[in-house]
Amino acid sequence: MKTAFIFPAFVTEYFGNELALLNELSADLPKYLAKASELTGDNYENFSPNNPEFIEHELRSQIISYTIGCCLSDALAFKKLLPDIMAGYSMGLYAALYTGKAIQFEEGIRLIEQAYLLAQKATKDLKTGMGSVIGLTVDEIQLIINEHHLKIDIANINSRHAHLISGPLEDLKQLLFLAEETGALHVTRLLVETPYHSQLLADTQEAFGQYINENISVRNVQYPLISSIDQRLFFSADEITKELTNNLFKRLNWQATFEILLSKGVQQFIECGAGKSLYNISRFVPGDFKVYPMNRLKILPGSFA
Amino acid sequence: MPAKITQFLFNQGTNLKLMTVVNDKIKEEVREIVYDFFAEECEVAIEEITDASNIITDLGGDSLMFLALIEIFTKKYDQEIDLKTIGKYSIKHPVETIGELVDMQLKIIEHGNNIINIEA
Repeated sequence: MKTAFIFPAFVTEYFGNELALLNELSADLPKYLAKASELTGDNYENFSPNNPEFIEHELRSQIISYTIGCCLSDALAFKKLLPDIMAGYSMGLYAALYTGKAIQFEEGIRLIEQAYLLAQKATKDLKTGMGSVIGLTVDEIQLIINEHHLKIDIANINSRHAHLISGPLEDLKQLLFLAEETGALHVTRLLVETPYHSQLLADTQEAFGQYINENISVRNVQYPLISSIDQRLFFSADEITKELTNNLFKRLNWQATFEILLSKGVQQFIECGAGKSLYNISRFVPGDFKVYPMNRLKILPGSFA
Repeated sequence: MPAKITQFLFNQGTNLKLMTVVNDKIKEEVREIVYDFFAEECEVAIEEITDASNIITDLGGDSLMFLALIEIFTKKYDQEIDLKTIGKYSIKHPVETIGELVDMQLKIIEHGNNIINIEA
């Protein structure tokens, strides 16, 4: 049975007991949090899933999500559970690269910080954001965008009827309103001001690529990694750099990514992160597979006895 | 085994509409599926769920669960539902509790895409 490790982006809904779950798997979590604190000058040792300072702060939420993903995948590797293949959802790419030994833990933190700074710079005079539309197809959302000349990008196709959108705030609000009027089951703004996966961040590509080339020793990834953008398999350092820069401004298709993983014979998915956002999305993909979020790892067949 | 449901066509003006008679057995089946679904997905003991349970604040549910349930029932009862009609209905009749969700699901099964035209 093939196993895929899948890595969530920043988490907005925690179980609440992530620290206890991680501590059952590994005694090293405090070391990762201390390292994140040392690298950023922020205090991640105070992290709690109930503390809004970590959930509502965009950069902190990315760093804590990355830190938990790295700690969890290391704990699984220590218990001899390794991936046959990996995929990172949006900023989950960094933890996937760490797991595949393409970057070091410290480099992942620096990449997250630099990407965030470049994204802020690219949108410094703009009010922007992201939102979620549940219940419309990609064509139905695109029709609204076209008809109303909105500068909104469909940022992520999570499933046939679940999408994330990204762009200028006023257009975003208008699209959410129009989507609801059209018949969306649910629309909401995300706790994100940066318009990830939108063309507004296209200008970050060159600067981010230059930063990576000058500051990060990207190595070939040790496990096959599938692109959430175009679903190609990639291994090499050059391809990783390309994926990292594209990941900021190009549309993701998580549904297609998941389907490709299934077509490659994956039947077991480990969600390497807090919460169960990827488990939730996977409900809409038909097939014979199981997704194990952190709180269900104990029922993973043949492990953690 | 899926419950046997009675469907019949009737004429209303120029439109042919597919109706489903919702009997007590279907009502019980829908309630059982909804309760089992939220107990499993929200990791809550089924005994703790009541019709008055708030889906978000009491159970920690979300809109993706609502979408997943609609897909479960459309497959189970072999319906072709335009999700937009349910979305429009939801604006007028927002669902907050398990009981309201069961009622809405029964209306979807009964009326299909015609749900948008019913009053309550």
